[in-house]
Amino acid sequence: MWLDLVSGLVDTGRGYLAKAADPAIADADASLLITDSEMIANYAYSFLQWLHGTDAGQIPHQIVGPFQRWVDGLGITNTIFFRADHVANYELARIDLRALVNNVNDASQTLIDAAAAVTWPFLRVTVPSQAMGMLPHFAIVGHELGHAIQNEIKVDLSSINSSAVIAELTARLAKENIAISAVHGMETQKILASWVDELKADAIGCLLAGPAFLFALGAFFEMSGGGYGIGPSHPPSEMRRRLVFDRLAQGTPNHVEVFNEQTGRDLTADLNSPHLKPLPLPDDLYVELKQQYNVEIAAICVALIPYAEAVAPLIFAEAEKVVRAAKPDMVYGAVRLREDLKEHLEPLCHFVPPIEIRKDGIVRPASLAGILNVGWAGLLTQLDSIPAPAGVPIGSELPVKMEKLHELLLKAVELSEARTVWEEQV
Amino acid sequence: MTALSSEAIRERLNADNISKRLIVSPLLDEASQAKPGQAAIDVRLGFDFCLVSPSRHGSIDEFGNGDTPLSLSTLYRREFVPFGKNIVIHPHQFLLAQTLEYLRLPPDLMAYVVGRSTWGRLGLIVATAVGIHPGFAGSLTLELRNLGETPLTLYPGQTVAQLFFHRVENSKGEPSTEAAAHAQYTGTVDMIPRRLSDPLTAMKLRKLISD
Repeated sequence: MWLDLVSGLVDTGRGYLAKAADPAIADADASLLITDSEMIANYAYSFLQWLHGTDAGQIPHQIVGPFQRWVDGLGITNTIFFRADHVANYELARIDLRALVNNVNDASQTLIDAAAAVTWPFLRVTVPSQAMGMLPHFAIVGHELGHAIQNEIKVDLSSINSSAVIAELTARLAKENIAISAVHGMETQKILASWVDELKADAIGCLLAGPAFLFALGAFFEMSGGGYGIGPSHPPSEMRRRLVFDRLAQGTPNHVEVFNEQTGRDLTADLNSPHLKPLPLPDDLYVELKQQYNVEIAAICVALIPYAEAVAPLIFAEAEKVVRAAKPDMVYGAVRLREDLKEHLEPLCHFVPPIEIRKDGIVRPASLAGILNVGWAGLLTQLDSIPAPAGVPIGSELPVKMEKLHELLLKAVELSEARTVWEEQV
Repeated sequence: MTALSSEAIRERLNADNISKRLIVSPLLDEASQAKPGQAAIDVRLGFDFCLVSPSRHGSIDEFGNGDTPLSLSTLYRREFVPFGKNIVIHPHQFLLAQTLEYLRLPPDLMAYVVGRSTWGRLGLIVATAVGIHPGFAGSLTLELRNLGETPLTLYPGQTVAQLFFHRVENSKGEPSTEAAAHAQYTGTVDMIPRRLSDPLTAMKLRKLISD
């Protein structure tokens, strides 16, 4: 669809050039048309740049279909595409070109049709660094899809007492000889709203992918730099990781118990991110944040931490209601984790990818969430059990095994999707 | 040498013990791919193809570059063909394809992959390296050649070949428990061969050539 828009723009520019070539048209008008066609061509070129990272060499084509199922299952109707690129952060970009397309003079029919075929805004999900070259890292895409539906997750924060935030902020600013004002209140609301949106997105990622999301999130935090992750747009990384872990430890059975039971390894918050910096005490954090932000922002961020922790359970609960209302089986629960690990973890060590589940004579395709979780469990707990292929030099076994695991998981995604597509043909 | 009936094949597909289990996955339509009374399982054309590019080498010479191993990947161009799309194999064209099914053989089974006769009658040869050893795990690579005079349009999902399974016994006549560990193609999902000779053979031949 995106390429259709580009083609439509090119056709529009061609139309201008055809008009300019008409001998009956005045030179000044022809010149204007040529200039306009150049501008349209520039737009077409810039549209192409948006596609950077979408080719099969960057993002595994096998995973796009299953991602689209997540998108459809969450009720996201926007046209969407996925890319992997060497950028710093995961990102959900909302691209709305309706104004541009509508204001183009004499738009070609192909451009009009292409724009009409899109459900705007166009969404683009970016996964950085080709997801570290490993399929399980793609679990974090659940977070970006969470951003796409964050406005549907309505959280009533009135039940959480916010007076402590104001008191803490007032006291901290007073030490800087700053009197609290309405401006600080507005800034606090703004930062809180951003943090709540991040927690909503984390909640969706956790619901869609279970522990796989925790592992991918932790790995991303760890690899994205040595800071605490806290700022006006994001709550602290360590807190986010802990909140996801707490959600996975809720209920009976829960993901934490099941992971321990099936892998023999304790699932802890830091299992895949042991080097993530823990948050320092509030006063020390404040001093550090003042190096990056102004005094007020630093004070607000520090004051908001306990409040954000308190509202997180509400956010996770509301997010779950939204996902269950959209498609109940999209919630990746502990029972499914048990089934997936029981069925697939040992076979994975024998080079059998988690393609389908065979139970009581009935066979059904493995889910993307199941494949991602089996993949992480394999990576984190079974690498010693996976034989290295012949001829691998000593010391290179680990990367070779990881590459093999990645290939097998990709094959699982491809073939489980094939089975799903086949079953849909009736 | 006994061949497994489709009933025996199904039993092995459902074996609880992973070391005994035969994996042919996904079987999109098990009933029609492993028909009762037969002794084989049909397999389908997958999505990945490799077209052999006209070689830049005079010949494919494993030792033509002295000590530098021949990179076989330069001989092929990859094509992904999704469900609903097709690829045409022209008369006398050669290409590599994969089975849609992922296969893993337990230590006491080996298999032969054989083209289906319907395709054979149209001129399509499906496999030349037909033996599959115990312990093999991976997507099967099919070597397709159109020996007919008419182009053939191939669609992923078409049943193009069948697998026959045979028991492998040890010297005492018991089911074998030893599979070829760490073989070149264990767990392979890629069609492109990595080497022509095993390292020892290559080393000795290289020495003989240089002497």
